[in-house]
Amino acid sequence: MNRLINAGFHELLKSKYFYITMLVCAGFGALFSVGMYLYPNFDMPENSQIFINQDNVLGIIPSFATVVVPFAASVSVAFMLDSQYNHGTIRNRLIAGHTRTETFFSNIIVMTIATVIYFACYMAVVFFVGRVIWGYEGYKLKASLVTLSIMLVMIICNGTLLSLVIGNLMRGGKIIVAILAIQYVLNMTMVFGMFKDNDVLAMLARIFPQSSLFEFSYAVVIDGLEKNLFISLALMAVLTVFGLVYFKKCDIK
Amino acid sequence: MEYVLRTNNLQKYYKNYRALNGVNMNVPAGAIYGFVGKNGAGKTTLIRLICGLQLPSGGEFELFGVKNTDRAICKSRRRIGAVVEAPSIYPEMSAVDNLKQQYRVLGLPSFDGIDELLKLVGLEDTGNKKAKDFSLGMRQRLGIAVALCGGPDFLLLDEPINGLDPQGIIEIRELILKLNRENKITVLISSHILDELSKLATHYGFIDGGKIVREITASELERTCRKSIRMDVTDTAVLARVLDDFGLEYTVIDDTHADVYAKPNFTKLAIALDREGCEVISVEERDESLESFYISLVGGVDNE
Repeated sequence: MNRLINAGFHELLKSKYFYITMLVCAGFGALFSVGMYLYPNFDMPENSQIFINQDNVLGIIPSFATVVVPFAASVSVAFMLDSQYNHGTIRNRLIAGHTRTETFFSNIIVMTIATVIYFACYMAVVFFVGRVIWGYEGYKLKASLVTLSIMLVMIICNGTLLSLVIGNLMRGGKIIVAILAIQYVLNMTMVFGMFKDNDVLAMLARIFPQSSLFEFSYAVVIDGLEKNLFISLALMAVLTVFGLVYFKKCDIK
Repeated sequence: MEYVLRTNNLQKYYKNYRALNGVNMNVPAGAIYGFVGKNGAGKTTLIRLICGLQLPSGGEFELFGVKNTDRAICKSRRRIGAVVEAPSIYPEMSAVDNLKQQYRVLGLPSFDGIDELLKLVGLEDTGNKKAKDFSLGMRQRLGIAVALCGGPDFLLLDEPINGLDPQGIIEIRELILKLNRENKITVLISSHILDELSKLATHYGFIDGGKIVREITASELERTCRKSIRMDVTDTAVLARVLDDFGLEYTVIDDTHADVYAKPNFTKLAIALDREGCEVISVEERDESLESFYISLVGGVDNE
């Protein structure tokens, strides 16, 4: 599998979309930081129960990575699978004697690491801008940031895995369009948590970890951080097993 | 005889459609195996099964003596290279980068041999030009070069000359012959361009309706398709005696028909037959091409 991971990384590093996506993630990090500083309560729903001020604004901005980075990661997944299926390069891997399990997991590993890189780009700029604007002394959430980051990466990786599974289900055609459309729908779930007086949305918010987006920022997550970690892990496991079982049996053209 | 590939009652179903319906096929080592069949006959499906891109619905095959159900089949696949339908290349990469990428997939320790491969397929001067800017023939040759990475013993080429101009067809043909003769690579080449296959193949497998209808060597096919004169006479026993006297090679078809594999002096032949009391009803020159042989096997238009 190391050979496939090595090849996957070289493919990623040869792709201009990888660098463009990193820049876009960094750009959004800067945009959100500066935007939140200048307009801390701009266009927030009245019932969102979110009150942004200078004490917590930097705790919120990292969570916004779940809005941008899943799209960025999905773009990378979509382009990679588009190349593999529509240009047939996945055939070279299977003909070269690699098992389908190796092929599947190498794609997951490469894309997960790409996702972490995008997240790191976003966070690096958020920290940099935050330091310039507020200075580290004014930032009070250092301790929870590691946990928060792990949580965010896991949520983002769920989206990446889902994109991989969708791409493998489609195996060609309009992979890019389908992945981005589904990623958009998935992203919409994060607003559920903002409408707590709606029973249905409130229930959905408890199921989808990203719906607790704004609560992550304060480490006051619905039902506790453990529930969200568990759901993220469970989703990743389910998607991985389903994706692998399907990929091992599917016909590739 | 040593076989690179043997299939036994290999089947592949797509829902209710039977793409392969019990294929029995034998590809000898060192051969250029022409895999002939019309569109939809099952050629590409069979190649996909061999390459592990699809799984059989029934039956089995052996690749280098390893059964497809054996875990070691993946190791056997490391000895093959294939171009299935379109060449599998990265359009945004140059020819060199495409080959480097395949070297990484194969886990080869260095990039030695890439220059030789590019030279072999005639792409040594493409520099940094991206594969997406290549002509169809160049892409096809790059696809073959990718398939040749790692020095395979068995090359599977699915319709490699489709869409190529005459010059491209000649280049691919010469390349395949070179690989077979100089590098001792066994080649399975599927095509429905029979005339082109006849310039390459040492063995043929004819597939129709998901079944191999005939396997034949090139020399057997040549004998079957050789030029002859079909004679319709009143008594082939007399004809045979006279032809023996003339020293001509022939095959008796039935009581009234025989094929003569030469151009005899018909005046002398007719006089000799008349003397023996045998009448010549008709004489017809026959030149069965690979195409007509194929049509006779699969039933031509009626079978479409």
